Amino acid sequence: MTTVRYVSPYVPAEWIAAHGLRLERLTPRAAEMRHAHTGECCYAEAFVDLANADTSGAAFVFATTCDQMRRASEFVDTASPAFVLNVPATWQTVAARNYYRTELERLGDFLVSVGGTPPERGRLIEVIAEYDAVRRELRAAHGRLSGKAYAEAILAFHRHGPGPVDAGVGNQADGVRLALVGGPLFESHLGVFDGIEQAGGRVVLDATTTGERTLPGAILSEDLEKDPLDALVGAYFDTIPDAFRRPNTRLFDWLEHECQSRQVHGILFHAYPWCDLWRIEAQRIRARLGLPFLELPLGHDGTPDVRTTSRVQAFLETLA
Amino acid sequence: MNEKPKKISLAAWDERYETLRRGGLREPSYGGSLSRHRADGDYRLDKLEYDGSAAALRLWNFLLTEEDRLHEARATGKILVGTMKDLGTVPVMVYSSPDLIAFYPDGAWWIPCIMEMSAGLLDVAASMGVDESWCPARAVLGAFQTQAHFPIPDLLTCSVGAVCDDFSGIAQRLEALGHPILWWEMPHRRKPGAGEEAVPLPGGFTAPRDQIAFVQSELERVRQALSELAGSALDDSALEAGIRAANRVRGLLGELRSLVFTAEVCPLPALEMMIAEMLAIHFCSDRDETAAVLEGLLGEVHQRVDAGTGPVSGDAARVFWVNPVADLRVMNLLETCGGRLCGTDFMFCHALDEIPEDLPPLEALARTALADPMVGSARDRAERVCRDARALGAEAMVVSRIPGASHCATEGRIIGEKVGAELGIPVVEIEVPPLSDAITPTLENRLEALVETAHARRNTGTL
Repeated sequence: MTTVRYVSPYVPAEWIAAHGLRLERLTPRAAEMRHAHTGECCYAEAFVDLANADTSGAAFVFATTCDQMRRASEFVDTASPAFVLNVPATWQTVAARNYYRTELERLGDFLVSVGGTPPERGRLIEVIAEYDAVRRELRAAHGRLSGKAYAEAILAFHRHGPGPVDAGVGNQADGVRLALVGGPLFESHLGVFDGIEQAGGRVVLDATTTGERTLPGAILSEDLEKDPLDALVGAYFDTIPDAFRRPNTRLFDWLEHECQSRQVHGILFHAYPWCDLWRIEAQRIRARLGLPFLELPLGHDGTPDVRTTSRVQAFLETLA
Repeated sequence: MNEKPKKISLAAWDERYETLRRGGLREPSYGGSLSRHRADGDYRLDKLEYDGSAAALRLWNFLLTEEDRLHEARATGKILVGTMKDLGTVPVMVYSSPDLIAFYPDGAWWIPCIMEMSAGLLDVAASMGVDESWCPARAVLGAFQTQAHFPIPDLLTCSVGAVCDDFSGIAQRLEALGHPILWWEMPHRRKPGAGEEAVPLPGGFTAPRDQIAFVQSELERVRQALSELAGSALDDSALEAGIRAANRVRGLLGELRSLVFTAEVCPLPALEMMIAEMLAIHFCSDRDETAAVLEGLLGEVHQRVDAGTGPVSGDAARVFWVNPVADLRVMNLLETCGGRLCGTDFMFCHALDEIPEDLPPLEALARTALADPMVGSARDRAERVCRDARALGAEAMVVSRIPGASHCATEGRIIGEKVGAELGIPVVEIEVPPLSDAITPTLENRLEALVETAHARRNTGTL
C-alpha cells in the first residue's frame, strides 16, 4: 500500500485515509541548509530531501501555501510521484473555496493513480468523523499536558493518524504562560519546550504551523451527513488561520482570542530565515497582541543552543 | 544626423539637448533636459550612460515624469488604480475606462536606485521590520508611508497565490497600514492532466480549462470593482477596445524587440530596451503616449538598422538576460563588458505577448494572466527562455537575482541547468542590489568572463 507524505496542514488527512492509503504528515528532523546562501527556505529544502531520500515508493503532496514550497516541488526526483495542491491564498469568495474543493477532487484522482480507491460516501463520513473525534480529544487534552507533550501528541496524530490521546494527568507544569507563534518546527526543535520549562516558562499556546493552530475546526455531524467533502473543505479551508492567507486577518483575530483566553503573558516568535510570509508579520503580531515579545532564534539543525536558552531565560526573567 | 550613435553621459546630454533644440526638436509637454530630473533628486542619472537620440530622450523623460503625471491625473479628477503584482493584465482592464489610470506601486522598487537611497524608502521599510533580506520592492512600504512619490491610489488590487512571498507579505503589510486591497487569486499554473483540455495561452504555455475559468471569474470581480469605481460599466466592448489598444503597444514593442535583438549591430542600448519593455506593464500611466514613445524608438532603430549602425560594438557577445535589475547601471555594465542584449525575460513576458482578440475579452485576459512565466513552474519558464534564446541566437545568458526575492532562491538553478543542457551556452548568475557600486568589480569580473567565454566559443565555432 502506498504511503502519502506531506507537511502542509491544508492537505486533509482523512481524504487520503478514506482513499485507503497510508498517510504521514511529516515533521522533518532538521535541515542542512545547503542552499541558504541563495535564499532557499530550510523547511522546504528538508521536505524535498525527505522526498528524494525515500526508497519506499511513497507519494508526496506539496501545497502552494508559500512560494518556496510551491517551487520546492520541482526538485523532487521524477521517480517519486508528487502532487502540487493549489491552496488559494484568498478565502473570502465562494470561488476560492470551490477552487480548493476541486483541488481536493483532483488530489483524489492522484490518490487513485497511486493505488487508492475513490471512497464510498459512507466510508468518507466514517473516516472524517473518526479524525474529528480525535481532534476534539486532542483539544480537550490541552491544559492537561505539558507544552512538549501536547506538541508531541499533535505530531504523533499527524504522523500516525487516530490513536489514543494521552490522558495527561499530572503532566501540567507551572510557569510563565507563553505562546509559541510562527512557522513549522523541526522535530528536533521539540527540545525547546524543555528549555522553556527549565527556565520557568510554559507553552500554553502552540501557534506554530506544526502545533494546534493548524488543527482543522470541529465538524458538525449535520454538515458531515449533508456533504462530507464540503464539510472537509469547511474544516480545513475555512478555519485554519495562517500568515499566507489574504487577507490574513483571521490569524490575528485567532491569536488575540487565544492569547486572551489562555492568559498568555509573553510571545515567543519563530520563523526561519527566508520564511518571508511569517517574518514580515513579526512586528505586526507584536503590535496586535501587545505582549512581551521575543524572536526565538531556533537553529536550523533543531538543537536549542546556548544563545537561544539564555535569551529565553532572560525573557522569562523580565516576565516573572 | 549621420554621426555614429553613441552612448553619452548625463552631462553630455545637456549639450546634446541644446543641439537637438537648435535643430528643431519637438517635445511633448513632459519634455526637457534630463539633468532637471537629477536636480530633482534622481541622482543615479549621473552614473548612467544613455543613448543620445531624441527618441531615447523622450523615453527617459516619459519614465521620469510618471509621478508628475499621476499627480496631474488626480488633480484633474482621474481615478487612480494601483495594480500590484500581476504585471500586465489588470492595467489593460483599467485603461479600458476613460476615467481610470493604472500604475504599479511595485515600480517603487527602482526609487532607491534612481534616488540613490536619498528618499529613505528602504529605511522606512526597515523600521517596519522589513530589512534587506526582502526584495527591493519593500520600497513600496516606504512610498506609501511617506506619500512623497505617487499619490495614494483610489483602489489597490493585488494578485496573490502563485506570486513571490516577499511581495505578498509587503502587500499584506500595506493593507494592515490601512490601505484596503482587492485581492484576487492567481493559481499556480499547471500542465493539463489526463482527460483535461489543454488550452493554449499566449506565449506557448498551456493550462487546463478550469484554471482559465477560475482566473476569469477572479478578473470578473476586478471588473466589477473597476466599474463601481468608474461609476460606469466596464462592458465587453470597452474591454475589447482596451485589449486592441494594449495590443497596439505590444505590437510596437514586439517589433522593437525583434529589430533590436536580431540586428547585426545592436541599434539600441540595453538600458533603454529594458525601460521600453517596462512601459508595457502599465503604460507608464499614459497608454497613448507609450505608443508614441515606442513609435519614436522604432523610427530611430529602423534608421540605425538600415545604416548598419548602433551605439554598441558590432562584435559584442549576444546575451539573453533573465530578470530585471534593481540597479539600472548594470544594464550599462553589460555593454561595458562587451555584451549586448539579444533577448530578455524580465518576468513579464505575458505583458509582451499579444492578447487574443478572437475570444471573449475576460477569457482572453485570463489566458494572458495565466501565461505569466512566474505563476507556473521554473521549468516551464526555462523552456520558454530556451526557446526564445535559441531563436534569437543567444551566445550567453545572465540570470540576474533580485536580492531577497523568493523565486530567485531556486529558479536560477533550474534555468541554468536547462539552458546549459539544451543550448550549451554559458550561463552566469549574478545578484544586483539597488546600488551595485560596491560590487561593480565582482559583477564586471563575472560579465567579462561570460563574454570572453562566448567569444571563445564563437572563435572555435562552438555555437
